[in-house]
Amino acid sequence: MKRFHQQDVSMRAPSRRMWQRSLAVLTVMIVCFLAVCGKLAALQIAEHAQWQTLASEQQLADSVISDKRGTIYDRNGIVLAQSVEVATVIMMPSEIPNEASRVTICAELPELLQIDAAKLEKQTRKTGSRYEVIKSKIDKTLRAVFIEWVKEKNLTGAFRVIQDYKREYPNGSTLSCVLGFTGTDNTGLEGLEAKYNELLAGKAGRVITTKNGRGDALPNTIQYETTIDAEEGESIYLTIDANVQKIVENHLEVAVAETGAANRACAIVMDVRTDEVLAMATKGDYDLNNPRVLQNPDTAAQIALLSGDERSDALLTALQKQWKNKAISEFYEPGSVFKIFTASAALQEGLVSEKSQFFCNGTYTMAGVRTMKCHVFPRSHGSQSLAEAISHSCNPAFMTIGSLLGTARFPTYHERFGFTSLTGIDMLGEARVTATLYHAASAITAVDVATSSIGQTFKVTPIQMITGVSAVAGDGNLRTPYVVSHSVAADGTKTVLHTPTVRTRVISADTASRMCAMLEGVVDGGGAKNAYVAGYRVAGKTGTSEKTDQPAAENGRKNAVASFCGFAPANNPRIAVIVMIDEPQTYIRYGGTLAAPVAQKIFTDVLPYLGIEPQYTEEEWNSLRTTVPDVTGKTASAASAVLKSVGLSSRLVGSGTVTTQSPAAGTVISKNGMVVLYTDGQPPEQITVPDVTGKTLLEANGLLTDAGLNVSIVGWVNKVDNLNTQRQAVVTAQSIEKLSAVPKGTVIEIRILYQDAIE
Amino acid sequence: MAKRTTAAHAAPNDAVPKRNGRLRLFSFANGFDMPFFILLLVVLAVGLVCLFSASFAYSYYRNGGDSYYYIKRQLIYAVIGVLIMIGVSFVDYHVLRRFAVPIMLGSWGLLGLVMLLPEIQNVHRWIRLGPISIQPSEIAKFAIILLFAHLISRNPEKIKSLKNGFLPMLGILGFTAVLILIEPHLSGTILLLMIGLVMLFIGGARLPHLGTIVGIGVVGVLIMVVFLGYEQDRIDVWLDPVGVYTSDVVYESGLTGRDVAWQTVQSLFAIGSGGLMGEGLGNSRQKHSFLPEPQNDFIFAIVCEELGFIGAVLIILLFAALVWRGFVIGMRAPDKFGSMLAIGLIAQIGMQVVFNLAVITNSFPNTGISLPFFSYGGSSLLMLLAQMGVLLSVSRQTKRLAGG
Repeated sequence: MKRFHQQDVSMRAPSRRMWQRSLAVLTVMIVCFLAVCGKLAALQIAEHAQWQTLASEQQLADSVISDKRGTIYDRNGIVLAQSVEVATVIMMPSEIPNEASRVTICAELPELLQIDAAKLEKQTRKTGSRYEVIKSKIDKTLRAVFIEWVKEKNLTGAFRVIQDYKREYPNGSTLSCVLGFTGTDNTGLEGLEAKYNELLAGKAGRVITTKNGRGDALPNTIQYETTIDAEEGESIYLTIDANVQKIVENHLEVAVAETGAANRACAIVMDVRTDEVLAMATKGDYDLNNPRVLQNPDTAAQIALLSGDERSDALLTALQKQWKNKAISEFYEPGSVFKIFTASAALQEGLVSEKSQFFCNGTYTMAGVRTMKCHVFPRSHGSQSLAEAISHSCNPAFMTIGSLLGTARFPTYHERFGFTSLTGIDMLGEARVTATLYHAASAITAVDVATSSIGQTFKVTPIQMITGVSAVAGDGNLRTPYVVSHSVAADGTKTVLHTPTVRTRVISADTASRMCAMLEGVVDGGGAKNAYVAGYRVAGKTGTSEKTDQPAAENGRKNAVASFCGFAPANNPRIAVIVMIDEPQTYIRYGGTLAAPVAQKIFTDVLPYLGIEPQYTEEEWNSLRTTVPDVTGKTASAASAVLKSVGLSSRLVGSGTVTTQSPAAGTVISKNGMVVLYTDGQPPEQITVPDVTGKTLLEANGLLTDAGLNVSIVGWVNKVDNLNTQRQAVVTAQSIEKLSAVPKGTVIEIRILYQDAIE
Repeated sequence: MAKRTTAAHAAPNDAVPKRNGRLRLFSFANGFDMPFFILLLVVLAVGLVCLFSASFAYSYYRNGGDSYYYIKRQLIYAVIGVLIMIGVSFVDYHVLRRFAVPIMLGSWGLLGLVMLLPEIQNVHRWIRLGPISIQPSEIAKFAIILLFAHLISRNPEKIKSLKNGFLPMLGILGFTAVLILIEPHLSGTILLLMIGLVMLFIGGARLPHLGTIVGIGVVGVLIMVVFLGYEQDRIDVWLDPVGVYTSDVVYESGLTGRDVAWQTVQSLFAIGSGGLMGEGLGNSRQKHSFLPEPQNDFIFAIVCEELGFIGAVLIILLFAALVWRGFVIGMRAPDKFGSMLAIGLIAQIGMQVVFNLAVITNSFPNTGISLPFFSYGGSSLLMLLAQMGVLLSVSRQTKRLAGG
């Protein structure tokens, strides 16, 4: 070593300058170290949160644990919509043990799970992946079969079955436009499902796992996992009664089929004491379990002819129309039904009373400028009381009443009955009546008042109409209608969402009850007599309006809306019913002939269902009906005498003691009915039922009585002159089919429709 | 073998700092500098732990589930390297003077050879010899340190002459740099130039000369980058990494902004998400196929993510202490040659650390530079440790001087 030093001149120690410059280099380097530390502090402390967020976005895989959506019940706890457990099958291609297993999967699963074989083949080859959805929403049965298969093939490591839910509507199309439906992600898209989505939807749980840069889960040894449990959604209880809803939908569906209502039809049943909606139907509606299937075959066929964007646009438009709840979202001209409010307003203001007299000569000249005909023109109603004017639905009388109200008071009542605002019903899509659809107080003229008084030149929604009628039928208060009463959380906590709420008092309770009495007359022999239900005091008003703002159809007629709105019982109103048939294609298309009979059927079925007992008036009872007494065991003559004492005739077969009678004891039949009495050993006499459908009531009655049958009439019958003047009443249905063989004396029910109910 | 100037003879022997009376706790007679040795072993050990942590996931994915692939190899090289280092420390460093010129010429030869060999990862950077691969640029850096230390210490006054000292040496440096640049190996070139300049600086080159050449260099780089658009993608990423990462830009190379910024952004994600305390050793998420090759140049980003700001700063302090101790050895060297050799070697380590940290924190455009004693690479580690052996060899003689 020493050798080198001695030979080397540079053995000389480093110079001071070198020492200084080295120190300078060291200093610069230390400064650089400090600067890097400063930069790290900025990144790791000051900007930590933002980098953490960005990093987490790519590092964490978030898989959702489905939440169970709440159930929708009717008012009695009948399930209308529920979530059922289904399963989603996840494959983990990275865990498929070998090629043989992969081949087995590709060969057997497509058939087992009904999936695309080519797609599955591709998925099995993603060997880096641990999350491939191969089939979603399989039901419990298939899940069990699948799990069995997995075990059998020893592939438990390669598959996962994740719990999910599917929305199910047990009643198919019932209440479809009200309930709405959910998307595949179980989020409400339409109707109450959408409106109450926040409440119904639970909180999805999450499993947060780390993933690597290729999107795969990390190896188990270094996996990080956090689970947040899913929370079940709340269930909601509707005010809707599923049974009432079914009754309404059945009758409405028949009406749509019979009338060919081109723009659908709708009906609402409401409790007038609370404004709870008991039923709300739109026909044609759709199947809740397959909402994207078009129900109207004509529309479907038309769309099938299109292609591309045009087709998808047309399909979407048609579907959206099919999903729309007509009862709250579509406007129509109310026509004569509105006369209820004209009369109520004038009665409240003291401008008219039951004693007022109105004269109709067939026409009315509005504000001295325009002449309008009464609907009976060229005939006329002549002199009539207020009740008669309502019953006649006399246009001149109501335009007179309108002129009494004038341009100041008419719009006030129009507004107070709720026709210029939303009803506030707890549903999505209630249409707002804009000022262009009615005559605002600031601009209304005397002619406008006259036309508006008879329900023309402005529009309302069905829900507005029934809410207004409910105010008249109730105590004169306008309430906010609602369809959801309360919710119940998964832990049983009940939350009341709506209670009866009075918006405003429109007319006094006294005015309301006076109106009810007069409106009963409309059904009892007036324009709405087709809505008559024996045993119940039905009140109401029909309306027919032409769509004057639309071009005429091919046959030169403009489309029309036939409607009825009424309530029962008139002396103590419980329910209001509105029926609206939009664009019927029949020749006769009055509210009285098309809508009132639907309401009649609804009242007939719903009133007893709601526990409202029929109360036949003494007049009704005495003049029309009697209960057949038990006369078996009596001698023929004694039996005959008993029957005669209650107004029934008898016909004896054989002789001696009566062993059998037809109809049986306890049956209610009309007075002047006949009871066939059989004595010992005599077989019942069979007769053939004649076809009376389409005949007038008078003809039908003759045919049936002559054949030896007892007749029971469904519909209004004039108590005074009974059947004789009922030439306008036509039989629309008979309870026993024609040509059937029945024992003599059997009661046959015939349903009648008055063709002269032209309002 | 060399001509001696009178000035060199005349130079007063007053530059050696007085060290008499200082106690050297970690040293024994004729022993090497124990603090430096221990610091180095600590850095190496921490580096190995960090390498294992950073590499095991990448290794798991890449080597068929073998998480130990990288650490096993690195550990073997580390053991061999430490043995070599100790061995080298026994050799009198003055011996190296004889090899200064041959090593320089040899490294040029290797730099030429590497251009003739097939490309590895698209560049002519490595010469593969069986299990190990040599980077000629690493040898070139050592060659420059050694040659400059030799030339300057042999005739300290010559460096002050522009024509006879400064420019010829600059020529050697420039020539070597060009050979590395055409590999291409930008970071190696930059590092070589910086080491060369540091050697010239401490060797006593005139500041106006150095200033001029640095000025020319800076202006040249600015012209290339700003006006000629060289390395535009790297510059864009440097200025706005997340912006480029999320942009729709497609560069001439066909790479998208996301591709170009990927490594830098992933590094920032790792560092930033580490926070003050870190995710804990072994718990990095970014090493799972997000940060490419986490065992290499960007290993310290994973360290920052796992150990947090506190851990990162502690490791930087370790490096700083090592560099400081290396400088102390250099400044206490018995002669100019030893001093320059030691300072050149430790400055190389220090600059590489700073450079690496600047790159991973995006304080400097991404050029791809490894972190000494941390990044994976066997031959590189052997080379580093052997050079540290030289430094320890110098330290043995400071002891003897101090004792005398």
